[in-house]
Amino acid sequence: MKMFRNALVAAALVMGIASAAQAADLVRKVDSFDLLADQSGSMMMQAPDLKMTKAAAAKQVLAAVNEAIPNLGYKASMHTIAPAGKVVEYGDWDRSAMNDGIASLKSEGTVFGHMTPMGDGFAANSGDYATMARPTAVVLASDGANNTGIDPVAEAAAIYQAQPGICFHVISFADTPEGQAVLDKIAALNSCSVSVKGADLMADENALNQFVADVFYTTGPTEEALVLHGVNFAFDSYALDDKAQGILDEAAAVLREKNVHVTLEGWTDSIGTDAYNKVLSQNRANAVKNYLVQQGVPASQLTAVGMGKSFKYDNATEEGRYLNRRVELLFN
Amino acid sequence: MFRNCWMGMVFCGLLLAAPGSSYAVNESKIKADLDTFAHQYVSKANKRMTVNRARPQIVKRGSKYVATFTEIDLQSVSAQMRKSNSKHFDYVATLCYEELTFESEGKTRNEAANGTFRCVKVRKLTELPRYVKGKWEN
Repeated sequence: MKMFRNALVAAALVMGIASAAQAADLVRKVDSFDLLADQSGSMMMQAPDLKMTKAAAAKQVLAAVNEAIPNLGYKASMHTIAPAGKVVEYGDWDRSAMNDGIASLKSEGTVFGHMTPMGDGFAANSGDYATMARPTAVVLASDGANNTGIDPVAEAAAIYQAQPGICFHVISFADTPEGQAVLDKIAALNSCSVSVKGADLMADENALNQFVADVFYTTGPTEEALVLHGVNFAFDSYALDDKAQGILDEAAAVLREKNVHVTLEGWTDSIGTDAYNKVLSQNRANAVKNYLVQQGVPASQLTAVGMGKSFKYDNATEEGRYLNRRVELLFN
Repeated sequence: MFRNCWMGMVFCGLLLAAPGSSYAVNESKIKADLDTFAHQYVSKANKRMTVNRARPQIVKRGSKYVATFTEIDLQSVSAQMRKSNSKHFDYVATLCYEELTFESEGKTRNEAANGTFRCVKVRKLTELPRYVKGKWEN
């Protein structure tokens, strides 16, 4: 009975490793984000092309962005400018709570006498931004128009200077060249910025999804590897000790279940000459390969490469040197 | 006398029942130890990275400078264990985590180092810690 249970657990472990390689590999680009909505008087004006106020259009776009963000464990908040305020408290991103926050934004309001102190809004919110997990994205939905108070471009530049790891992205609802110019200048402050037009996101789902991908996640290259520590050899030899054989027995069980080619990389710490470590690591990688083949892993499935010295971890400490001495089995 | 005999029978019953329950309790303790070990191990590995968030590596790529560093996503750490068939250790675990590489570009070294870093590569890593003589090692 116990053996059956162990077999089930082992199968589950192996299947877990295999399925991880097949899963969609989305990785978050930022650890946190803030949605920053412009609620100024000019945003309460009609956007003729959209047949609604710019504020209403901004709400629609922010809601669509919120829906399209994949659940990758972000932290999030929501703020407004003109007037500056906090709509959603910073914490674990909750799509539903963020939707409620977006829904609570004004769509209509008084137009006259309500300027856009955008720079003051940035300044008011900057304290909250400083506490957000890095990297962080601030997604600004604004028309950039009717500014008063602190220069928003200068204030955004000051935040970049004081707060590494922050990036302003722009969803523009500008309907004047001056407003667009302000937003363009903010976007030009840092090459990280993604700048789009709100109307484009409303008209084209692909554009919306591309914006979300550009700001929130990546599908960049993903590598999968089994890393083995403690695969020890007798001093200055290629003979595996008993414990090393036990570790490799477990590794062989994983490899037999995976029908993929494996590059077996042997690494050493930095003690000794480069040439010595290169040869040593190659011979030890070969010894590991031979042992795995004896355990039933097809030789054609394995390529052994001696990588020599590793500097991935700090060689000045015993702990770092131990981490550098390793065998990596890269699943190709 | 009768009461002592009765208590003795209860005690014997508990002794007979003990192996199964103590095994389960012991295994849950070992699993709890594994979770602690996994997070400590990964945190230490993160701290020992030569190139890290505080000290990114900066190289010139074409006309731009690129700052890069690698760190383990501590949120990604998970560990499962099972009995080992090896005579050298009692349990073996699969410790899974993601190692992320971040890059930032700039016109100068300083701009690259202080720019916004984006994740450009993910390594899904698995290690096989062992439970030996009452503690986890890797």
